[in-house]
Amino acid sequence: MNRRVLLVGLGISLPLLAFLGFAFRHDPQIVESPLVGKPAPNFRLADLDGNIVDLAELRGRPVIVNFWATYCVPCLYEHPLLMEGARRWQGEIHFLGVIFQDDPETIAQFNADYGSWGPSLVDEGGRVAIAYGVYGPPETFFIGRDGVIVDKAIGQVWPDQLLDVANRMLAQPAAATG
Amino acid sequence: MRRPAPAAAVLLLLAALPFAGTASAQPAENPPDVRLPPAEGEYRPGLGVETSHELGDPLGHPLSGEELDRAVAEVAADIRCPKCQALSIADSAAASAQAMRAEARSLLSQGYTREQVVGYFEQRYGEFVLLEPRARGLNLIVWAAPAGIVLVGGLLVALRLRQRRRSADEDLDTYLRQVEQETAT
Repeated sequence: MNRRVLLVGLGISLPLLAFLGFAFRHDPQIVESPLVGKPAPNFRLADLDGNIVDLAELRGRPVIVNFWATYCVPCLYEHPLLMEGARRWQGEIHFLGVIFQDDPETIAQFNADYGSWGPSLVDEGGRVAIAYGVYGPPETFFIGRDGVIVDKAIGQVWPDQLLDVANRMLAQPAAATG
Repeated sequence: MRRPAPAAAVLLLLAALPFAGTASAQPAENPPDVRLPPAEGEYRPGLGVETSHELGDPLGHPLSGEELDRAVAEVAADIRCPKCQALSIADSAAASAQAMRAEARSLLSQGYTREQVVGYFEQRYGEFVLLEPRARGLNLIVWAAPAGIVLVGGLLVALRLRQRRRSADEDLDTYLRQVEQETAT
């Protein structure tokens, strides 16, 4: 009888433990983007000075698109890293910021106070954020030379992460561009 | 300067607790200086995002008026607000939900069907954006588990009852045999 109870207990608890073990391997806060490995949605947006940026025209060089806002604390923490990245890979990687539900005047003031690592693009109606499936800032999309999304960072970008993805994008052969 | 008493320090700590961990990746539902989506037709011409490649050709007819309102409400009820906890974009006042409702309205007015619009959001955000997961793959566990648990539980209860009845019958037989033996002597 005790052996049977043990077997039934194991029969119930082992699959449950296996299921929980599988589930705990993933951070429930992180929702994988279905866009990684797919072509980046093309956008045409104006920066704070009215200059138009067309993503399709940047094809051939890697692009880092960062959705950010001044009210988002991790965005402020990653700002110096993106400044350093934009300086380090100047002429090699395009850095674009898309304003996520923030006031352009506030963004302009922030850029004047702390510097800017790339054009801050005004996403009227948040349509670009929807096309990129952005849940909340900061989210960063790494787009390869061929216009395909290589990787995505949810939350603050970390130095080793930026270095790793940037090197991967730069290692892509220029001939692969579409 | 006088040092605060330990009790006061504890009170201060307790008061600060609700503010701990607010520096997360997900900002407050209604952050300050939020830019609300412009009304239909207010988008600057030539700017925006290309969605035609992802959406394909519209498979329905352009909706307007009450029919459009109804279709927007139906789609919005099925889509999860990305910045809320288990709220649909129909029920949320968050700026993201408003933007998604405006996008759904724009697409439906162009002739895209409800399925195409829901599919577009799913394609962008992943299946998580659907409030009701599709009954396929691992999701089947969610649909089948309640029925499975009831079935297995019922089976176990039935087996146990049968076993108990058999055991009670055996006990009765033993008792009757004992009575017969004792009365025979």
